[in-house]
Amino acid sequence: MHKKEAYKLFAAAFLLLAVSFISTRFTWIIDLTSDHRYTLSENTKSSLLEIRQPVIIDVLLGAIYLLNTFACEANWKFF
Amino acid sequence: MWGIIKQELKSFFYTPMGYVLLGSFFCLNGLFLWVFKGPFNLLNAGFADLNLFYELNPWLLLFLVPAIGMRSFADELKKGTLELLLTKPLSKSTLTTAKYIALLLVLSVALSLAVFYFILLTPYLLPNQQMDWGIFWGSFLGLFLLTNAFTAISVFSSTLGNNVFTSFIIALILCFFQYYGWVEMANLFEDFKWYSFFKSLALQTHYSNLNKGVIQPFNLVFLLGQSFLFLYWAKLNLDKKTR
Repeated sequence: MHKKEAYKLFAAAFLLLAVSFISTRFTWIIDLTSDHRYTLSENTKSSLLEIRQPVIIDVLLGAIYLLNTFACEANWKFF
Repeated sequence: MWGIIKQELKSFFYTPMGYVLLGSFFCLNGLFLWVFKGPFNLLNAGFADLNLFYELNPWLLLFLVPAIGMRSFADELKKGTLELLLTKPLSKSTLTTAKYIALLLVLSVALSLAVFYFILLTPYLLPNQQMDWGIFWGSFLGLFLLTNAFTAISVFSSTLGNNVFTSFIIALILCFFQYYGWVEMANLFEDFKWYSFFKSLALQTHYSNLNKGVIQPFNLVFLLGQSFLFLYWAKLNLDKKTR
């Protein structure tokens, strides 16, 4: 009986992890800011569509943990 | 269920403890944001927004929520009134949820301070500037969901033993670890995958993401999931205690 409870305890934690990892696949965003700061404008989208060759972005950061923070902000996917 | 919620609210507001806790929360907020010339002073911030309020409040709630929630089950276990409650035709999950909702109702009184402060900032806007209610409600949602998670953690830790003070300390430590501990853990890893994995376990990451006024499913699911998880654990603990 005791073992069953511990099993339930961990099962719930793993379920939470699994569900939240699945939810990273849904990338829709609701931008509540009044100036739509976090939404790409139509102008940006159309100029991005015109790009034909790969774009290289240089990011100059001193410390490795800053790089991690930057990458974390830019992309939320794990796998 | 409503009976239990009412009972909880009564026990909170019929004693001076509720007023003392909420009062000290309001006092600390007011002093840090409007009076003290420290890093959280809203008037010196340069922008007429509540970013500093939303930066300060998780740390205050870290103490307030365990202090309000510590009694919920620990007191019942100590007095032995839990058996009385369980004789009523209520399931244990209903009981846990009722206590949780009662705590949330009390805490939403505390959180309503944000609306008041935001309106207080109106005179400090530039002539051509508009109040950004969108970002405000986004941040408010973040703070509310964070409070949900903290409350669930406090309810869980109050089922652990019959000592009120122990449950306060455990809730404080657990809340702090869930909120900030994972961030420090993530900093130990240089590999991006591990870093982002541990970082995403911290409540702070999700909270600060919502704070920008952006709502993403991952953040919502994680913050809500934390509260469900700890409530479920609290229920499991009750099962164990009453067998």
